Amino acid sequence: MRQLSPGLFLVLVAFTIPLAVEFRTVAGFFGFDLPFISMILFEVVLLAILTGVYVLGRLTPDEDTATTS
Amino acid sequence: MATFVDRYPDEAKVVQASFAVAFIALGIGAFFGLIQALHRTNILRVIDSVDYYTLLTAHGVLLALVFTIFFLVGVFTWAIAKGFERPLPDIRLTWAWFGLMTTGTVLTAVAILAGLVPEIPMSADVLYTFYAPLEAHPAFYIGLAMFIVGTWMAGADWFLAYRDWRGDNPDERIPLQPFMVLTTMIMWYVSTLGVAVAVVFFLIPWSLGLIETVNPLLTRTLFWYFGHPVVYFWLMPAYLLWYTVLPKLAGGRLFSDPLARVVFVLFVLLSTPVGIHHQYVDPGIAEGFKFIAMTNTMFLLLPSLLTAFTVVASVEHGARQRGGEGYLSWLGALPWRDPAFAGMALAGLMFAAGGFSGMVNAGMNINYLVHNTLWVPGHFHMTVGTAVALTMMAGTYWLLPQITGKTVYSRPIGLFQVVLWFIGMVFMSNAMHRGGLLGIPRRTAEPQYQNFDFAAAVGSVGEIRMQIAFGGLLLFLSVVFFLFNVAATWAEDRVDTPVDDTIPAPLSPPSGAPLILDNLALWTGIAVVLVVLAYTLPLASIVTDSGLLGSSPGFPVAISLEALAEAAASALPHVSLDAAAGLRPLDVAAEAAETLEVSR
Amino acid sequence: MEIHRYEKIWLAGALLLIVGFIATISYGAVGAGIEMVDDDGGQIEPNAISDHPKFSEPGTYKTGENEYDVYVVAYQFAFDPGTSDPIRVPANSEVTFHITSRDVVHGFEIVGTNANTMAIPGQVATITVEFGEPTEYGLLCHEYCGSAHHAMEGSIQVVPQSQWNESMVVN
Ligand code: HEM
Ligand SMILES: [Cu+2]
Ligand SMILES: [Cu+2]
Repeated sequence: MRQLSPGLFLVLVAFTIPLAVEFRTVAGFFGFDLPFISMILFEVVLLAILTGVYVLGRLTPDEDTATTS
Repeated sequence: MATFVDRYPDEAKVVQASFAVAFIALGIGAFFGLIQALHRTNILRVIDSVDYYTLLTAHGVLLALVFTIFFLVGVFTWAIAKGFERPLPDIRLTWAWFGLMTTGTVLTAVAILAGLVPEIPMSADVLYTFYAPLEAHPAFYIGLAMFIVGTWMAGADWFLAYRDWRGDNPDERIPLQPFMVLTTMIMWYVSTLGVAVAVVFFLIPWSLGLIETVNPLLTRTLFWYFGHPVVYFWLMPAYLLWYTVLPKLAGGRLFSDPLARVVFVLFVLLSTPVGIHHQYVDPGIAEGFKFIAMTNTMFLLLPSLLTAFTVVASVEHGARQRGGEGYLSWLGALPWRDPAFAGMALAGLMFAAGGFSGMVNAGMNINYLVHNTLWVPGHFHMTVGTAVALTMMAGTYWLLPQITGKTVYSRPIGLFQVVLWFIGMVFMSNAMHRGGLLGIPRRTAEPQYQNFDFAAAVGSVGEIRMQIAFGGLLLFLSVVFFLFNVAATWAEDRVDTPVDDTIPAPLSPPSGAPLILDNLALWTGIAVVLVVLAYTLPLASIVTDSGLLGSSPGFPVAISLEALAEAAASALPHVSLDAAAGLRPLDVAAEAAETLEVSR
Repeated sequence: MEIHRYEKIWLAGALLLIVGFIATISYGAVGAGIEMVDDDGGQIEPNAISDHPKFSEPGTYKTGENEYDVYVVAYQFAFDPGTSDPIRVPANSEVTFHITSRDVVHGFEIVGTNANTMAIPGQVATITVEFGEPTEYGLLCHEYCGSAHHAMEGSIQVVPQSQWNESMVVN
């Protein structure tokens, strides 16, 4: 698993937010009216995935990505 | 190698002073922004709705004019000295324009903020567009005029530096950064002419009572003659940083110097003859003129699209230099931990989104749906409010060490702050766009009406409000962290090499660029011709229709007794009691109505 | 000047996009006939609105079979008609609004529609709107016009044909 730098992790966290906010708009576009809470749930799921990737990357440091940023 | 402050100590002081003014304006403006965001969403009202417009005027002027332009003159001064590798010709001239701009700013700010103090008979709640015949105190207009003349002198200062440099280097290409500065200033001279005429010939004499009336459509058109190019004036320092600094921060170098020059030349040519696109729904302007403005506007997309390509390609090159691979995974190899890089990259990304909503605005007929709704502030908080403002904040993390000789106090705080800005803006501007589509107007203290409600397609109006307020809060916090970081940096001790300030040469060097690109006189000439073509007829017809001076006397924002009485009489029956409690003018109006009764 | 191949492709794509935008907008303006606010409304002396044949008595005028003109004067902080009395038009009619201001710059927006124009002193804005079924629309001023700008609103009643009567028109 690729190692995420803390900086990149933070930036990716930022990117999940427009995804979550617009997720509902897109669903609405296709005729599904999702409640507000779904946006929060979606965001939580995205954050969980990201954190998972981040933590796993930290636990299994691989040699070739020596460029830490 | 010594850094900027060691080589050009005098210039560094001017840059420091300019940044200081810019950041003070940013702090005050952001605070007002927070109050606005909370007030108009009815989450927290700490001010009267009447004072909302005072704060909004200050917010627009302090952020869109003072913060951006003071930062710009700082960066440009830095770029001229660094690029020409020589000090400015006469530092007294430099301080003179700084002084004039600052004095103008203070005058205007005092005129605006005096509106909060009823005891001072001074007010300028006319918003930063100051459409006549709403009338502000003369100090407001005079301050603005001084500010603009100050920027003209700054431009003269940089052109003098160019002349000196040219004398010593007759056959060299203009270095890229000074080239960007000079072309931007040409655009600025051409475009500020409009607002200068409006302010100096019409609004100042009118506010002083020397002339009785103005032609509102004329001053409005002259304002927008300047009002679109000013957008590019804000953007050009950001472009300068994206072209010359961002690739370096990414670990590489600029992709193509010649194309960067082409882009700036295109801006000189096309920025001004488009202003009428802000007047798509104005009466008194024929459809044909609007159409010309629309086509020019669309072509103005070109330099920005080219910029997107060059900047992304340069950043990708940098990532590959750092060992990045693959189609997309090179993105991971970028220095995301560096607040200067991360901030600029996020700003650029937000600009892409802002560009899309801008294309909607530019569509002459779709514009009807969004004109003067919250959509518009949603759009420009992504462009000037993020692409420009966030790039400036991020750029500060790289520039401040050079002009102070001090290392940034905390890069983690810096990174956190730029990311927080991005997140805050996602919330605020997304919700503003959506609110605008529902018809919620901008520039309104209380978009809550008695006669109707706004109907939301997805979600609810309440949610939109929450998101605006929440986003505004995050943005304000981001500014607080930024200002803290800057102040703490300033308080550090000097070090020898606070930051790596070398800028590597572009992949395609300037020698590949046709010489004609450096022919500034030619581009100025063409720009003037295009402006004459686009504006002579509309201005002529506005003047023949209603006269040079029109027939509108000034109207105060705080209305006359008679109008108050009428507003009270006509509006009060519709206003429920608790709603009326928030409306001070109506209370006053009710009293005024009584007084009138008595005096009759 | 050396231009990279990808750059050329991008350039061509960008130009195509721009021309495409202009083409669709031109089609909208010419082909689909979406009308713009322009200089058709002519000028008016803002200090002498009471001398104008129609604006002196603003309101709904019948101009033809199912065709009406509505004259509206905007001022700090109301529409006349619109604020104290709603603007009334019959259902299924074609209505041309003539809007001017007697003091500062105002806006005129029929909420939830794209009927949207500025009201500039000295100028008359005209917009033509098709009204369908009976309903009520909100009306608001969307240009800052002074300290009670947020209170400047009104309504438009689209009245069923059966209830439409002479008292609702000026002429
Ligand atoms: C703390 C960050 C900020 C917050 C919370 C904020 C909030 C707002 C809000 C809520 C409005 C809409 C007011 C209305 O139409 O009723 C507004 C307007 C505006 N903002 Fe900001 N803003 C922020 C930063 C900025 C920045 C950085 C800029 C530009 C560099 C900017 C430029 C403007 C301008 C030009 C307007 C329009 C003023 C007018 O309509 O006259 N804002 N802001
Ligand atoms: Cu514009
Ligand atoms: Cu208004």
